[in-house]
Amino acid sequence: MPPLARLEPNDRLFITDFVKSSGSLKLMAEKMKLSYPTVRNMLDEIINRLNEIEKPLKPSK
Amino acid sequence: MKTWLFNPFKFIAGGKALLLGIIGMLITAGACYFGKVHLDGAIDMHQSGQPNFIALWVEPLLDWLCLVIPLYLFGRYFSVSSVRFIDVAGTLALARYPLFFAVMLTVFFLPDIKTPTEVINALQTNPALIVKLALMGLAVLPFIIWTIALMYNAYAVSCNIKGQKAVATFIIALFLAEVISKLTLVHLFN
Repeated sequence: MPPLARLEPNDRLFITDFVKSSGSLKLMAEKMKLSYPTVRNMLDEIINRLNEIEKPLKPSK
Repeated sequence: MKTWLFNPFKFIAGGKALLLGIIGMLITAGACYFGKVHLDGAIDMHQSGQPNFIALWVEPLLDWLCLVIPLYLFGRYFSVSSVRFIDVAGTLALARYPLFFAVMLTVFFLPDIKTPTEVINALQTNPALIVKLALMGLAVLPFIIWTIALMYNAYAVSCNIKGQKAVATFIIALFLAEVISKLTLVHLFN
């Protein structure tokens, strides 16, 4: 299963909204009525989770 | 409600927080004039008789900057996120708003005593005053703790930093800010 599909539904929803906002955290913050750093932190947490999911998939050197 | 009291930065940061914070700092500085108190350090509040008018306005801005700079640098170095200066500056400016309530307490309830000698004299003539001063100190303390909690949350949100790393760097930055702001203010106004 692709790493994106293995994320929680909320995380996938966030990514969908992020893409629809043309990757603008500022726009996402306005839509979600949250501050810019809060939204950036949410994105960074999803990136961390994606990295964790991908870890076992990466071939070891 | 709890989030708005202790972590409004979830909703407000950047330029909006900076504007609100600076307005709050200026209003608090005005209240300091009537309370005859100085915010003479990153988290200090002292009574000092007739206040130096220029110092009243410079002190909160300097206290704030002395904390913003080390926290921004720590954020840049320790955080995995891209930290914006405007978020650190804005959230830390807004974090100072409980000081307004602390200053207002002094405006209404602090006895008009200017120097340590006056305190000693007043205590000899009116021993009950020490109880009033102690109660005043206790009443102000929660607002100082509230301010520090807000400062920590401002740092945690604006720099996306958590856990022991966040606590340790925050304590170091607060200590540095206290020392630098004290030394600078003494150098400027004494």
